[in-house]
Amino acid sequence: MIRRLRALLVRLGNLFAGASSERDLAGEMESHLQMQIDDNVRAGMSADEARRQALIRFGGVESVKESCRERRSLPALETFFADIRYALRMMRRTPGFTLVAVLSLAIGIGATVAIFSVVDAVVLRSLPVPEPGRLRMVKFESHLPRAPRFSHPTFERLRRGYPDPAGLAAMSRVGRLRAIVDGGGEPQIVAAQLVTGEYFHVIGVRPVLGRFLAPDDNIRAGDHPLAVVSHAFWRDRLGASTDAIGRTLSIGSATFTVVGVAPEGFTGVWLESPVDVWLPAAMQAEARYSQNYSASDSEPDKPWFGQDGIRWLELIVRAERLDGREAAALNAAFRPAVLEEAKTIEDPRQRELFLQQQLALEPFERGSSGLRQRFFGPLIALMGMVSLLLLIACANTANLLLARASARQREMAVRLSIGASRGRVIRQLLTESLVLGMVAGAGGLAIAPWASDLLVRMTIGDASVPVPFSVGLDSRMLAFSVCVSVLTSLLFGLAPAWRTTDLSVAFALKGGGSRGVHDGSKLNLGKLLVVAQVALSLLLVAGAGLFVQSFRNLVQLDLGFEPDHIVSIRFDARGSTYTPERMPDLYRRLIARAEAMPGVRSASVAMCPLLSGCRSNVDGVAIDGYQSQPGEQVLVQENRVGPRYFSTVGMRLIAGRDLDSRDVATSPRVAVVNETLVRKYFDKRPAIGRRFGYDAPDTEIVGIVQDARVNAAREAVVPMAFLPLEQSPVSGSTLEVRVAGDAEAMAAALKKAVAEAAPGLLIDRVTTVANQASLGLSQERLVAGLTSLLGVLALGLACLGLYGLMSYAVRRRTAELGIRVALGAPPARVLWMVFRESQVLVVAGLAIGLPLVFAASRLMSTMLFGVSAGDPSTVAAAALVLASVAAMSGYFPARRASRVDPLVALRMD
Amino acid sequence: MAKKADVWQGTLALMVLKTLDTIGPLHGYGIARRIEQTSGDLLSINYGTLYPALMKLEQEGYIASEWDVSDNNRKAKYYSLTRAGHRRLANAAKEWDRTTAILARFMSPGEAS
Repeated sequence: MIRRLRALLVRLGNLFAGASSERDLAGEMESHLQMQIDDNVRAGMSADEARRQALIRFGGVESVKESCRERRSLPALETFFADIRYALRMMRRTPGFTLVAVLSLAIGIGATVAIFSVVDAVVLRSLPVPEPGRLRMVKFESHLPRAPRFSHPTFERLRRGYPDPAGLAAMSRVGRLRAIVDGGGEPQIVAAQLVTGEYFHVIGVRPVLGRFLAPDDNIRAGDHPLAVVSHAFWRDRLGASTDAIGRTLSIGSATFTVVGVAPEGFTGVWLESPVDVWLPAAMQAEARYSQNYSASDSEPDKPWFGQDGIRWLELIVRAERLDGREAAALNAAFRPAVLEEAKTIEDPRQRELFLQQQLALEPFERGSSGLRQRFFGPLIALMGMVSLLLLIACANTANLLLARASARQREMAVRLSIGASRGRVIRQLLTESLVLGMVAGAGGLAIAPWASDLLVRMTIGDASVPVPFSVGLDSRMLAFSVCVSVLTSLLFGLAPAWRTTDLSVAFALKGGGSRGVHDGSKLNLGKLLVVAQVALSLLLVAGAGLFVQSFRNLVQLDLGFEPDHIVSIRFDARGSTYTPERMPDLYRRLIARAEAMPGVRSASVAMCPLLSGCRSNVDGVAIDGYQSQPGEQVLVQENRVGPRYFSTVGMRLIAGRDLDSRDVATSPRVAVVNETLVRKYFDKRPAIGRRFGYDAPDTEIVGIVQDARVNAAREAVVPMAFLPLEQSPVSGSTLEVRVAGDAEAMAAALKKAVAEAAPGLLIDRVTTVANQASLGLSQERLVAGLTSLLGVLALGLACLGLYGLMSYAVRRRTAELGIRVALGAPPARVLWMVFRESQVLVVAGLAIGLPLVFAASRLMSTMLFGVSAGDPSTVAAAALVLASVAAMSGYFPARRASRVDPLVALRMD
Repeated sequence: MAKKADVWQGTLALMVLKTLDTIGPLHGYGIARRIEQTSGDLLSINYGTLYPALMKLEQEGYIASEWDVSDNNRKAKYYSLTRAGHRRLANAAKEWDRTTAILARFMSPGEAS
């Protein structure tokens, strides 16, 4: 075995041995012959006879040499390399052809690889943990809309009933908390996740330093001030030193001791929210974590740890096998609580629905990602479109190869007639295509990282945020681009190679090949390729048109408020001296300070900033006079705002009064609601003066405000209530300031003013609402921008294809055209004849492309906004653009045809 | 003249190794002549087989080659056994003895027990 391997290596080495081994071989044969001749002479033959007999005995020097050559190295590879050398020579000889083919393919391949790398990072890649396929998340299977969150007591019940008590873990979402390293220095925001002690066991990674949290580290609320930090946090903020273990992080009211460092690359299970610090779930109150929870019959201000009414944990398991045993055990442990809670539901149908709920295990191989959910559709659409572009580039190259092939028909005829098999010649031609494809692939790979970086920036939409996950050149990307390049080469090379070698040898040798008259109007491969290009281009151009139209509709959409000229300053009072009792005073001080500044029109405060993704939904709202259906969620989104909020952000009050300084903690609870709430829950009856509230209707509606898209431009307006912030203060809020001039320019001054007015207050983020609006449209901007680019490229390639085909046809038919002109055909007639020929192809392409557009646009209808799939005017515009650009590229060859000089034409050949 | 036998598949390499073991370093022509003589001119070596076989043995590391001058002052490429070649020959000889012994039992008459 090892000997065979050695032989193989020697033979591989001999691929590059070159002339010296050839001399060696010739010398050995020569010396052999000489020795035989010597012996023959010694045996008494004459010199001539001795030589003759020696040659007869030897039996053909060349054939022996050939046998040796076959053994010397690897002949299959040797010819492959020879073909490659020949291909490179051909490429150098036709630089124009090479440039166009390589460039168009490189753009196609580069774009495909770039988009694939993002698809891979966002959609396909698994978590960097051992055997990620075995991770499962616990979900509800229920007819009731319900977030898959659990309270800590529920988790404990499920864990006790689970076959492997260490195999079930709970975790919170990733929250932004304020932390101080080693008790000194500036407070900073860290991304923290609260987990139970089983978390790291379930995930299955090993610490690079110290230890991870264990089940014993999560027993009693407030008793376990321990922290595990990520590798990046350890490197960047703890100086990557081994004595990081034992250092402290002050978060909230507790001082956490670092016990371990997670391995590099593992940043939790949320793709776009890398975790800095993992804390025990028992430390929720001390860490002041209060995000992403659902509460009922509970006190959110007390520790959540033992409260059954606060659901804030997601559960994951590592399932060794999937035989349903795990899910059955979970359901058995979950059932008693469901039965217990069902008793409190009076409505029988509602109870029935409630009792049907089940737990199920869902794959969690790739972790969670909001980005994935949001961009899955757009990325797949882009992947499809970029594949189309690559197809167009392939068709284009195939067309160029076909044209070149006719120029090489003599060469092929000679090769075939001196004994090369057709397979051998096809192999040679395919090698040439492969070289072309590989060179283009290398070019594509060179532009891909740059393009994918741009793509991710556009996807995230904020240049200041570091890319939270790696997209880059790795072995997967390399393998993908090699596969794409090879496939592409086969795609554009196979048909031309087949066609080129299919010729009557005698015909081509006689010189007929260069003056063919046999393909006048016959449907041939080149024409088919142009028709396909036109059809595919229409698909891309029309798709781009639809996306651009959607984006324009969104940009011009009336949001219901005026996003321009508003600065949002988010602050976080948790862990500072600003206790909930002092918040109303803080609000008044901040508003007064901001309004005192020159250039400020008005200022107000709110719990949730506009278009920020912050939202607070209240379920189970009781509304005066509204009877809910069984299973219906009476859901109201709420925001808590300060006085003059509506005029500050530009929402129009259409009835009743605004919230103002009368509405304080001690006054009756009031609210302003939006039109949708009135429409949905009051159905034309007057709403002002009516009451609603959680459990009991205790809040009076004093005003109605016009509907506004406060969450996102694309999101339909939901029932909303605005409550006075002073009646229910929150520690994290936002100062919204309307300014007279440029909001960006005012941002820094406002931030400084807030910092002066409230020393010690953590200012989290300062943005403008216009900026938030633009961020919210990043997905649409990305798709519209990229598809436009792809559309333009496709258009260019299709026109190039048409132009190339027609110019070539005109050159081939110069003699025929010359005869026509000589016989008296007016130039205009010739021009029209050639032009018509090209436009027939365009019309055919459009006719095939149109049904494709209508079919394909239906697939992407959910991504469109304010424009229907296959919108006639958009599609018509796309067809018109394509037709006019194609007309131009068909016109120039036709004009050249009309100017053929009959004398010159007839003298050719 | 008796019909000359072809060299059996796979045995040529063994003959080459044995020849080099007996004579010492030798060129291709010499190896061929030596094998033919040893066989009492019953074997005829085809050079289109011999030279690739030598090449294969060299690639596998059983023999090494070197240009040298012959007794008759001719430049020639001399092949010699390497240590791996010696080992291989010893193993092959043992194998051969066993095979022939077994075959001999089958072929020799009247010894069935």
